[in-house]
Amino acid sequence: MSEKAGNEVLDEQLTNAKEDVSVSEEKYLTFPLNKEEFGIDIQCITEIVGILSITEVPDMEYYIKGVINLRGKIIPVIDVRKRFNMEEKEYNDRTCIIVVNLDDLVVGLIVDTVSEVVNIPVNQIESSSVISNEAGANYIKGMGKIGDRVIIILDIEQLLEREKLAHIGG
Amino acid sequence: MSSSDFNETAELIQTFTMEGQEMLDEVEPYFVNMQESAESGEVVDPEILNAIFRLFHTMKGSAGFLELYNMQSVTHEAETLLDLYRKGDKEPNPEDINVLLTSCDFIRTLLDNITQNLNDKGFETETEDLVNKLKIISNGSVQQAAAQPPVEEQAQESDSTTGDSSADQFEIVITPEMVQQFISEATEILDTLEQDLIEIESNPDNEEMIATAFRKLHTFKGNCGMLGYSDLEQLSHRLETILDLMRTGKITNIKSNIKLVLNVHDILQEGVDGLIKGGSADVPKTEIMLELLNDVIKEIDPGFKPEESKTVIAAPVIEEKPKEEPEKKAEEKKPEVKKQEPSKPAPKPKSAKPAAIVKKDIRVDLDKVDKLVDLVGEISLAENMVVQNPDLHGMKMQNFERAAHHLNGLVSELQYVSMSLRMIPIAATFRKMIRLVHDLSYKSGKKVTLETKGEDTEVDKTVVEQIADPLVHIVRNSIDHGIEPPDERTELGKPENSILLIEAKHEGGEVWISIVDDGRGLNRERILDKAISQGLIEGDGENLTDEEVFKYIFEPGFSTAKKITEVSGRGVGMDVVKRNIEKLKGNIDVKSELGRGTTMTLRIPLTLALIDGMLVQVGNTRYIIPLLEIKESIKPGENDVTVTPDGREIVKVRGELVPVARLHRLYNIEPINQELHKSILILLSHHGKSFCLAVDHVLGQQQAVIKGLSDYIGDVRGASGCTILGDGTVSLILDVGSLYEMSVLSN
Repeated sequence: MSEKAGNEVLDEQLTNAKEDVSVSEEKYLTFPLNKEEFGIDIQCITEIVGILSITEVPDMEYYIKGVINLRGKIIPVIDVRKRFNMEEKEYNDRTCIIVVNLDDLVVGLIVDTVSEVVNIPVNQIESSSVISNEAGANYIKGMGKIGDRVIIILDIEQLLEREKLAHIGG
Repeated sequence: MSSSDFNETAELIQTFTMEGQEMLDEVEPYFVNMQESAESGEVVDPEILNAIFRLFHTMKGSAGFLELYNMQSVTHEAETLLDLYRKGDKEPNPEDINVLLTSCDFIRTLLDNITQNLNDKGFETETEDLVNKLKIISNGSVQQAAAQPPVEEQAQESDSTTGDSSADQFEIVITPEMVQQFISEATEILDTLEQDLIEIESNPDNEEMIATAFRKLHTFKGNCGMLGYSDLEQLSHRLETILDLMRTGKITNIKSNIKLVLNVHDILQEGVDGLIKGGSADVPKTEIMLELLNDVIKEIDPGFKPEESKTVIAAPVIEEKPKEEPEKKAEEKKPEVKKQEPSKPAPKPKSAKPAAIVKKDIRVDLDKVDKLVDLVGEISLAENMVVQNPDLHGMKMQNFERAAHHLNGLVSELQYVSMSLRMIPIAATFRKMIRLVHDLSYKSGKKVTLETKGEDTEVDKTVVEQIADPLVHIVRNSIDHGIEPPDERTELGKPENSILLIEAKHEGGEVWISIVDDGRGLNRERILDKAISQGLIEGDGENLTDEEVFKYIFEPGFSTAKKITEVSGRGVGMDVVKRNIEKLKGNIDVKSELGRGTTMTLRIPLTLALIDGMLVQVGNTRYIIPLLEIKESIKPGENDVTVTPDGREIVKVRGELVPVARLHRLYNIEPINQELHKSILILLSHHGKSFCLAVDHVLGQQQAVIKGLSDYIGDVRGASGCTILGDGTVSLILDVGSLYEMSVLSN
């Protein structure tokens, strides 16, 4: 199975998973970065697309790569590696853009690849305050445990640093 | 009679006929259905009966409101008959249904006639005939048609009771749409009424205008009555009485009374505003105002009894309008018609009526229009993607090219048409200024005559909304600061009466709105002093041009006024002007001559959705430059470029020295050519300032659909937005003004 098809399968899986919302569990889309596994609540994800041509926009935060044209809509994209201050990696055909929607703000997150949709019961998630009180880590919502795997669950709102940017823009 | 007033009534009637035709089209099949059932002896579906009943009922209501008496009589009788069917008191038989069908056809004939002549006169005999037929069916054949009163009385009778009976027997359900319609009509009426009243004030002998105002109030009152806004109804009724007294010459001191009328007008406006905000139309001041008005009326007409107002409101409506109005018109054209009229309401000669203005329009939700405009934008993008598809590159395709050209033409036209849907005349905004100027000149004791030009100029709806505030501020400023008091004007040898001109016109791809006064003009020295003392200018500013100096009046908190008046002087207004105009991507030009007056021109792009641009490339990135601001592109020779010691580059263009801006430096990207003589210079002009932008390639002209950059990104330095190119990539649209500020000024 080619990687491209893999994306599509996952996208479909995502759609199915969103329809089936159970109460005690939450579903997360996971993706690997360096050696860690990260998770995003699927409720805010609208779709996953392959990498598209990016137009640079001047004077942006270092991690905002620019804007893409997603079927006629202009959406900004963030390089998650850069956001986490990891070393950059060239985009290839495995690179994905996870499109998230937060209160009608649509943003794309560029990640190396995406892995799967997992269920993590609420009681298996440790809150982030347990792990660290550092201000820099505030984009971590919690740590999910599945067996011996640990998934870092991201707080997208914090990841985007919306207030900080709004301040710059205004 | 002014044409706008005529249009108003005409518009109401046209809406009615349009709706009537639609309803008939909808219901007619039901009759056939009903007839079939009746013939085969089946029970008629009650739903069908209800639908037909509703048709006649609705038409009756509207007809009564619009004083279409023949229509009203027929629909009333048909309704009565259908009610009997509905209640099961009578079985429909095919013959009777035929009569109903005839009624439908007759209503159609009436509607056609109304569309042309705006009334349904001239069909009295036919009406009588049909009414009698229907009555016979309803009452059983026992009763004689002869026993019925003649139709004229009949019509009158049903008229005077319509108001009550329809309210008692059938509850008129007020739908939100009705309220919406009322609001938009009422706003329009009040707006134009205000204008008329001001006209009357300055020209009290204008009986024609008083009559116009009277009719407007009358329509307004009717609308209020229909929807049960009793406060507004009572107030407008009193106003109507006063205007009537003015019209008949019983009030001689029109000037002083108009003030009162204007005040009441404002209260009516308040009521309507309350409705707009979703509240009620009740006005707290009604009681006091009513008393005040009653006093005025009593003074002139001691016979007036305020008690009768509420219950008999409908009466004068019926008596006055059909008689007075045609009479007045007839008087102008054919005096002899007048005498015939009371005795013989014969079909009116068509020539006595102004030809009907057939205005065909529909109300459309703005969201739908916007969606269409968006969609057309997408279509144009998709077209580009197809025509400029990289797969086609290098292929010889004569037929394809031709087809593509044809498609391109159609898409452009589609774009133009869809854009024009959002365009409305600026007249309504200008009308608001009339009152403003009136009030301000009164308050400041200055004599100002407002002139408007180009009210028909069409502009985007958003522009109309955004432009109102800036206009108010500019007009205030002009009257408060610009225009001198009468005695000062006389001393200066200027006419005592000053003229404020507001003009709108299309100019290139822009709308220009100019506000011209003949007042003091801007005082360069005062502005300079103030700007220097506020630290806005370094040095003495002597080298600045007048236009540059005048720009400072738009700075927030900037005011040279010595005292703050009720009207202006805090330095807020002009800041608002600037910001609103910037929102519309427009510019403001200020021209002023000391002692002669000031001209402010607001230049606003015609549409906010599309621009003609030039596609250029710097490094690997492509940008769109608005075509309007490009003068030419040049390839400089090696000797044309001068570099000053502080690194500024200046190029000689036909003997003129022009500064150069490097886009790659501003945006920190890698260009293909570092040397200036290898790149192409685009000569740009912004507010009369020229500068060159160095780019690597010019890729060609392109129409761009403007899209906002995401809210997440916010404002981008030097760019006004972005667009999607033919190959699907996103390109920034450069903002020449801020590029100039960024590069040339900051160097």
